[in-house]
Amino acid sequence: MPSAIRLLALMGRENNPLYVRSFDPTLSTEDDQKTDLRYHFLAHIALDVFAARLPTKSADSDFGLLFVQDGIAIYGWMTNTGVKIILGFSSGEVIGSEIRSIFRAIHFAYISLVCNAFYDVDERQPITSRKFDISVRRIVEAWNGTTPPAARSVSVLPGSPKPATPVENVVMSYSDSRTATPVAQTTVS
Amino acid sequence: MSKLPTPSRASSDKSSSHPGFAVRSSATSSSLASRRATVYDRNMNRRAPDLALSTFAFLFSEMVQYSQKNVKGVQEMENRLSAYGYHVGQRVLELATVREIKNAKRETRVLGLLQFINTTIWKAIFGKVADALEKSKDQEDEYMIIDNNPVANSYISVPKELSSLDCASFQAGVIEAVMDGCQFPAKITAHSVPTELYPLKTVFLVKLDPLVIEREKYMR
Amino acid sequence: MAVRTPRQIGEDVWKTRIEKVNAELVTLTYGSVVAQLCKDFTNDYIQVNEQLDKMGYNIGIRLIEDILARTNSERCRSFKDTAEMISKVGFKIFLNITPAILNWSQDNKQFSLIFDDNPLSDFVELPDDGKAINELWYSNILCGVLRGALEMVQLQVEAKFVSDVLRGDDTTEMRVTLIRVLEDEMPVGDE
Repeated sequence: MPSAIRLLALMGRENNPLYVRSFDPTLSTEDDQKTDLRYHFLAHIALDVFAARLPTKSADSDFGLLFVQDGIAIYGWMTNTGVKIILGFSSGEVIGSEIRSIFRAIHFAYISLVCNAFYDVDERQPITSRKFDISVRRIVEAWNGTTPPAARSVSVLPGSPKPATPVENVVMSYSDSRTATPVAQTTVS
Repeated sequence: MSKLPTPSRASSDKSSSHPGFAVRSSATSSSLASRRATVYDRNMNRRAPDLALSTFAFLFSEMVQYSQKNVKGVQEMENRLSAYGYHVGQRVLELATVREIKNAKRETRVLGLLQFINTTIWKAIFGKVADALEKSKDQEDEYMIIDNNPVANSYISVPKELSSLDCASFQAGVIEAVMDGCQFPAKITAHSVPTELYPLKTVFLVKLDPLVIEREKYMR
Repeated sequence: MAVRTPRQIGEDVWKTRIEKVNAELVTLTYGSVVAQLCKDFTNDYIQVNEQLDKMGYNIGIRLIEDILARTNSERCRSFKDTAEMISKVGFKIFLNITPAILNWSQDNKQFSLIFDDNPLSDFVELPDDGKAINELWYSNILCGVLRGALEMVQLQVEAKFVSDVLRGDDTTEMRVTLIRVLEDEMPVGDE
């Protein structure tokens, strides 16, 4: 059985929580997922492991497996600006290079967030961006296999004003530009 | 669509020994891998596109004009330009990790970071590597990045009343943000040192925070 | 000699006669300007729009020289030709995009530019203050550029954004209206 992502956390360079979400199917509402203390706890333990390994760590971002607790394997990644990305996987088979690609995807979502002219990099506030939220949610859901296959081919990161459907499959209708919407080609006769 | 190079080395060999979390060292079993095809944006993968240099020049010169309003002196003006550069630099640093996946690593030493700025960052953002990187002979906390023809000075004619203004302070701000972002706090100032061959030649003086010097000593 | 279309002129100039710079330097620099204006005007976005338009105007009146010098194209005979030149030459050279020209008014004095791609607004997410999304036109500098550039070729226009994907609209659309054709031989600075 492939393992599923149960936790995603981003911690700032002062170890301030930027983003902590659990993806636990037993938690129904989004609020439950934000406030689930078990996952906050795991994220904070992870910080200690980062700190302990840092002095002898090679210069790449990948910190690999940090620890396992309560059936959750916690992996870590540190950006060159000291932001820590923490992923918790449920038990199951995981391929090392796949973990790297998922970290990279989340790292890119973070980069896209930072590049927004209005994002205050210095502020220690938690991330409130909707765009970021949607991006990482898609990444996690694509991994966990909880989204319909159609959604997977869509670019994950925001920033391009392209329609949220593959361009090949849509025609843009501008007959009335104020209400222009992408129309699926199959529905155009 | 271009993909990022996937490192062949397994990421975390330590973990493979843990029961229940079998980590295979390569993605040879590709059915799973392809199902979980990398999902990040195509735009993030490809090399940054180009725009006309004059677009930047026009924009930059408007920025300089605007910054002149209610300015009390050259110093304040340079601070303002540096602040714009800082805002840009914070973002440039992040993007460099995407564009320059091989060269962008967590730098742990001053010299490594300065070389990264001098080459990778400079090339990524200003289109060429800087012309020189020098260490001060007298001051252990000072370095110099030298650009014979900085882009920020190339298209700007400085108004008379601000004749000592160096627009390259914008670029100094970029460097300062990169150094701060990498946790090497420093103060960067731009100094014009025109030569006959390079009338716009600029020295970016990097003065490291004492903290950084302390840390370097421990690492020796 | 065959007459070259605006598209050919734009492509040609872009490929052979333009010194290039990293697009992100432009994107991020523009972002730093808008962010600073929002701070300076304490999030009075109406004023930010105006300031961006002013900056654009200053750019436009100088940039047109650049275009004319690089293309040595002939004078546009109609406003339709002008629209083509704006999209296929002006935007092509300076932003490497060619916005679609649509929605001509009956009297051919009004059209829309539709931006599928806008390098200025890459990465941008408007501030979540409930105001920016209704008031700020992030790329408003472009309106000023058009106004300034066209004024130098004796066309007084009004240019304004009417929708923006950053605000959640489906498209980014700028409406351009010809107000009047200025007198040709109006000497500058003469009473």
